[in-house]
Amino acid sequence: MTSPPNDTELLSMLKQEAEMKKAFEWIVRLNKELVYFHVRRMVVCHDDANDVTQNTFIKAWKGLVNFRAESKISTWLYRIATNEAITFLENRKRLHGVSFDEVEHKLASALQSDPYFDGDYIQQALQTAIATLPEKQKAVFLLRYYDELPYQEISEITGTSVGGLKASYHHAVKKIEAFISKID
Amino acid sequence: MKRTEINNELEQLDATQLLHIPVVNSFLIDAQFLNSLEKSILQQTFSIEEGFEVPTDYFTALEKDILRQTSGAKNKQTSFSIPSDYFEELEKAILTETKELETPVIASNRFSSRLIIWSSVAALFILGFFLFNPVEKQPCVTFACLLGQSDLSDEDFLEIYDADVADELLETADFDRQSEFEDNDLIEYLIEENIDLDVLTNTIES
Repeated sequence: MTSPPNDTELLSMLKQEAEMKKAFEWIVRLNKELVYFHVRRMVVCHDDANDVTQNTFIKAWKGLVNFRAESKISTWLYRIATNEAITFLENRKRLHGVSFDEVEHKLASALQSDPYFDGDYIQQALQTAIATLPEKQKAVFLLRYYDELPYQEISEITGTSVGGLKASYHHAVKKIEAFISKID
Repeated sequence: MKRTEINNELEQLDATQLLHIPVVNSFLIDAQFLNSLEKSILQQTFSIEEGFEVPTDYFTALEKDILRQTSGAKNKQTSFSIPSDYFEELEKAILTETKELETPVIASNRFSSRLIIWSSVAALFILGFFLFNPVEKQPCVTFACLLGQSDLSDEDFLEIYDADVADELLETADFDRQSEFEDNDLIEYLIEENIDLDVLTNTIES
């Protein structure tokens, strides 16, 4: 198989036990970048993103038997990745007991010293503003603003209604605008 | 197409700041990172399916390790290990060495013999003291005493008192014992001595 299989082909491969490994190899190959950068924007740090991405695919492999193909494979992976990233961030907050201001300060200094961040001042400000959002609101904003997903798909990923998502996205945009205006 | 839709939405929300920020991916990764990530994910996921992998001969080594630890469990109770047959050899060595030594004098016997010697010395000293310093009984030289013992023979006196005292006593008591008083003689004696009979009688009665 020289050209990458589409979702339909992959789903048929997943139904055959002999082809299952091959299908999963394709799933990883086609979606690793998408999943990694979504997670990276959520958790910011590369090492954390690496861990969360690996956990996402491991969970996907374990849950492959229960995958009903009611949504796209990428949507299914986004859902797992988003949940993993939110769980990771909540655990980190609980463990370190970091306050809102501390998150902002730490993230700003982390981005400045991060060799894997190539953003100018305004990009740093934007990432810091995103980091201050509540986890779920952050996920909605990132999926819409960077991944350019339609609300319907974001709804499938987050398990929230489209109306609720729109409201959540609008709130996130207003907060980010206010944060950047304050810095300027 | 999608970007336009999102920008329109931002305009409606009056998000001028966000509209002017270019949408770029500022997060960098190493060139080979995504390939290594893929390998790492596939290694982990397929090892999960096949179960836990163990090194070759792991179970043989595990069995040996368990047996080695359990065989040493008896000595572990004291945390000190000893050579095999140590206690048998120790017993032999002790018995051999003790045979070469003299039979020890038991301290309690030595004490007893000393006690006997000193006790004997003390007993002889006490006996000698009484033998050479006898306690002499003081002779009874009063008249009443002599009267009370008037029935004693001369031999009795001699036995009790030493010779000089006994002779003296016998001389004085000889008259009393050998003379026989008669009433007339007594009356004559009382008259001669001008002794009032009534006073004498009262004295005797009291």
